[in-house]
Amino acid sequence: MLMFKLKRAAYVLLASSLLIRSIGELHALAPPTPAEGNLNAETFAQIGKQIKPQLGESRWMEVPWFLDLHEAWQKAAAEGKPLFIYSSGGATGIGDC
Amino acid sequence: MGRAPAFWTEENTKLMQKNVVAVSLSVLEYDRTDAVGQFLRDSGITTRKLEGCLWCVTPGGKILESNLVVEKGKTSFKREIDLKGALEKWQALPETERAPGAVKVGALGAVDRQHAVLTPPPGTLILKVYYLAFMREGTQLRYLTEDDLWYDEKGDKTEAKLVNKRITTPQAHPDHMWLAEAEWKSLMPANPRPGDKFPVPAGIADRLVRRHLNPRSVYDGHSDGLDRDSVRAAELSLTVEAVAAGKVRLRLDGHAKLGKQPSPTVLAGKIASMDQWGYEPKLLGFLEYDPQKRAFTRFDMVALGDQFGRVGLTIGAARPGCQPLGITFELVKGDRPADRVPPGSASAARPYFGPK
Repeated sequence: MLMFKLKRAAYVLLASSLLIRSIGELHALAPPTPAEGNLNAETFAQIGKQIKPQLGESRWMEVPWFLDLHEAWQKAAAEGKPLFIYSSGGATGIGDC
Repeated sequence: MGRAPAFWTEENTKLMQKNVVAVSLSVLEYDRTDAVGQFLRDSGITTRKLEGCLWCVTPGGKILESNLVVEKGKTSFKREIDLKGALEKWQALPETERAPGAVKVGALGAVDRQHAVLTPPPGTLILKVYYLAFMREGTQLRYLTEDDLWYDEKGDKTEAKLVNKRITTPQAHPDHMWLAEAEWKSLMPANPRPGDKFPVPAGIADRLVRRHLNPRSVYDGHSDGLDRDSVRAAELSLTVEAVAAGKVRLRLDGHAKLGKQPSPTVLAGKIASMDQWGYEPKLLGFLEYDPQKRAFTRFDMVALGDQFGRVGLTIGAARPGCQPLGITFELVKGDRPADRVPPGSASAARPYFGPK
């Protein structure tokens, strides 16, 4: 009986992890859900969510950027890593262009 | 190419997170008189064409890779930086150049404020802003794709070939809005009562409308704000919705009419306007203020309305007809460097606060 329960738990876990993985991939790959184009208190949250970056859309935002080269340089030297510098004509490379 | 999805694959992003210390600079910083400018110059990042450049460099100042190629005095950009190649070169270096602590970094010295990245003044309230262009389908919205973008009135997409149809436009475009301490405090009435309604203070409304509802900033770097003539109408108000011991809730309502009105052919969706633009957003926001902490704990706003004219982030494309452009504003703590990026192209020479 115990073995049956363990097996069933294992199947549930496996199925759950596959489902979660599928949903995760779906979020990353599937076309976005359309929203009503009328901005009001009811649509506010959904439209706001759709404007913001979607999962996997702008992976450059997932990097912990520094804005201070001296600070980054100290960290790179202390941790034994190279610096990755992204420069731009704007205030920085990672804001408005 | 700095944000091109072609480079920012999941694999490259993980490599970056694990193996490098990433820093984002302005071209102005090359001229810094302090240790930062000296490091850039000493590293051999000698060109002033730092714009849109990626460099992988050791803490000792040795360039491992770049997407900038200088050959026979001519500068060109590679489509991507060879990140794996850079990391292989890094691993091949002797321990004296790459071991933790092997390179000693000197003091910064007196900071060159004229060329350093602008930092928010103490007490500044920071709003993270995102712009995103949509396409309308019936009564609903859908995301923009490369195929929706027109590069001339006929719908030709000639410029798309230049970037292999891998443009950055469909990404949400980030920016920041700053509210000085005195400004955000002015949003809160001394004795709020439910139902009280009042206009958003003129200075804040003006900067919000002309600078942060500016659709032009999303495509061609006109991020200093619109001229006053470009504002045909604008109205922003705050209403006290609820007052409790620990929270005062305000609602922001507004609208703006910016730029020109669309021509009949643009309105009919038959062409994309290349030389005119217009944007008519509606605004809605929900703000929450904690009287005990004397601080806003929520500051969410959304602007949504029809826009016509160029909107492509890097190559100035336009959508056919009038299409929705959405903008969100959200309160951030400002404890991450990425949240302290100055609004637009603000710098010591191009101040953010004050009249334009």
